[in-house]
Amino acid sequence: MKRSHIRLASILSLAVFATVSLGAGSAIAANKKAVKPVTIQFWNYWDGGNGQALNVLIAEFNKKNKDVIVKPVTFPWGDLLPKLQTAIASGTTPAVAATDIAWMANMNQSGKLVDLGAALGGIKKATAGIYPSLLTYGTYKGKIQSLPASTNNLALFYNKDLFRKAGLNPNKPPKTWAEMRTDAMAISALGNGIQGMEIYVQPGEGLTWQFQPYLWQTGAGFLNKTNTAPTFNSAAGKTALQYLVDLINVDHAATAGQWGAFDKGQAGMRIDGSWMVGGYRDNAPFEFGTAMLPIPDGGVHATNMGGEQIMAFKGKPATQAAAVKFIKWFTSAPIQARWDVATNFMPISDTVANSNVLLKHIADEPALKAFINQQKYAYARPAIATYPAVSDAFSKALEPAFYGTVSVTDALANADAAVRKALSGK
Amino acid sequence: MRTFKKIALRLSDHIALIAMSSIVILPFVWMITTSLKPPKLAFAAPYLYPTHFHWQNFVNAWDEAPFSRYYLNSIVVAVLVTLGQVLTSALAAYAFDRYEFPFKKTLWFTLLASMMVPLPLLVIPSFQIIQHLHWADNLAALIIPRCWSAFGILLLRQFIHSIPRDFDDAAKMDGASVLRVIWSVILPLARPAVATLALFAFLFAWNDFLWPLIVLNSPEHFTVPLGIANFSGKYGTRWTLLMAATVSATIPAVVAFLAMQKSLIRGLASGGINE
Repeated sequence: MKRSHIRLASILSLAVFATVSLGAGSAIAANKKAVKPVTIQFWNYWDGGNGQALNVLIAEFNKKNKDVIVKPVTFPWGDLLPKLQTAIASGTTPAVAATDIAWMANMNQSGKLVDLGAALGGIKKATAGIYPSLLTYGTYKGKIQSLPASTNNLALFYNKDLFRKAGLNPNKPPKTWAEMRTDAMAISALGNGIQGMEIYVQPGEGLTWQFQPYLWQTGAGFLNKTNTAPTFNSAAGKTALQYLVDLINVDHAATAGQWGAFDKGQAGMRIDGSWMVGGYRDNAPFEFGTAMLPIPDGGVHATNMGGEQIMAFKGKPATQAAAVKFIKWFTSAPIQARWDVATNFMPISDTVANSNVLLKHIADEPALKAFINQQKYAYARPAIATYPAVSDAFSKALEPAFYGTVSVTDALANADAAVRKALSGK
Repeated sequence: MRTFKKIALRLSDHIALIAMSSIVILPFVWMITTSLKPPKLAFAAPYLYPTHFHWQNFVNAWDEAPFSRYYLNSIVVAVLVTLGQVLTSALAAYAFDRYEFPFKKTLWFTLLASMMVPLPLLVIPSFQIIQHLHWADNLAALIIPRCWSAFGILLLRQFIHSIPRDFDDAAKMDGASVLRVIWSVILPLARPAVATLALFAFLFAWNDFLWPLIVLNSPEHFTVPLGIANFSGKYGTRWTLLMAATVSATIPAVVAFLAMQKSLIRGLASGGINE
């Protein structure tokens, strides 16, 4: 072989090698580019055990989905709404957020939420099996802008030790308002500052959320069907408020003031949510039980619905797609069942409710049964943008009645006027 | 008889002082005691002396979130804000006291007036500026805007005013530049005021909650107060962990206070006797 041929062959070989190498290199680079994950933030307020459960699930999602990295960011509950409002105003929204259902009206009107119905292949497909009452919060102008991430309700917690001390049957919690009154009086008769019943009377959404079930049970309701006027200023509404005011000021079976006596074993009963079950099981210095909320004579079962909705914010197509993928996964029945087991939240669909994982958990945690049984009686709070102002005005007008400084009639009349004003946006 | 009266007066003074000190100290004692209780006994007596030593609360509190990262962020922010405020306040205070320049009075009163604007009112415009500078979700947003303080300038200016100009002149005659005069003559003489400013700046930066909450989005940039707030949520408050985290967060502030308390008292006391 001539030297020039050898040189030519060498050059060609080098060229082929270089081409192949470059090709392979760019193929690897292209491949790397293809799998480069999209990182998205998920703002929420789930702290403690709920936050840890969320982290476990998200780590699992991140491991299974190489194209998306979800980073959970926990903000304090009271600060998440202003944080989101600031982010909406300044265009710095996260890809995904989970918020209190009571804030959904504000979120829906922001114009920044992704149409999840369209993104998930149509409303029917996106919401298949989910309880319709939970979809009211994310439905806006015919679109589904959020999906339920969790739900819960209020039931009666009672201190079995105090029931025993008061000579009451610890396995027979009250079923009616009359029984609850008698039991509360028997427990408060123990003295030493022990209250029969703990009632939340601090102004704010806490008071409204705790008192609304009494209004629904008597049939008084809160707002009318169109959410344009209050309905609580009625004979039925007076019955509801009078019942609690009398427990405090006539029967002396409850004290208006700070919240927390039940936690310390200093109150016989209190209304609270399913999320407290795990905490009381592990930390309560007494034996506790749960029961469906007692109802008045001739009244109906009713409780308040709580929980969170999950939503995606508009952004770059890749970010938005990653957000929708995560929401689809998080709201899927198997993940929701595990989420409910870890958090003691209630199921968002029959599929979740009937899953083996959840059924086994409920069998192991009998205190959850009361909540499961009354989920079907859970009322949704009005999904309107003025709701925070309405709730605030309502609670402030009612508070003096619990302290006995304003009559029940006047408190409801004042609340009626204040709520009408808040509804008008003035 | 006179001695007895003296002793009685001193005793009553001390009783009053102990009573007032207790009002300040008792919440701290309660915080420490609660931080050492098992969760089940969080509300059980005794409240003011520990009967349990459940150190696991501290471990759990630190496991809950990347608190070591939050600590590092808080320390970086608090130290740099303190240095920044001392430096800029010293320079501005010296200029306002020792020099005459156009619009000096107008500038001085504008500075004083700025102290009367409530902080929440400044939050939105400040956030907009931060966004334009692309400092959102960055520690720069917590440090740089806080390196200037009208209070610091006022405090140091009042103190520098009490230092005779002869000291400056003597140093200048020895060939010292203006910066050398400030560094080697004025600042050492103004130590009580500098310590007061440094302590206020450090505590303000260490405890700040609202501004970090607004400008920060990523946990890797969070500061200690943001981490602590998450122990009290919608679904309950974990008192023992909250108290354990708060005890941990209080330590740097207490150390800073103890280190500077003598100078602080002198600084605060001198503020009232200067012209």
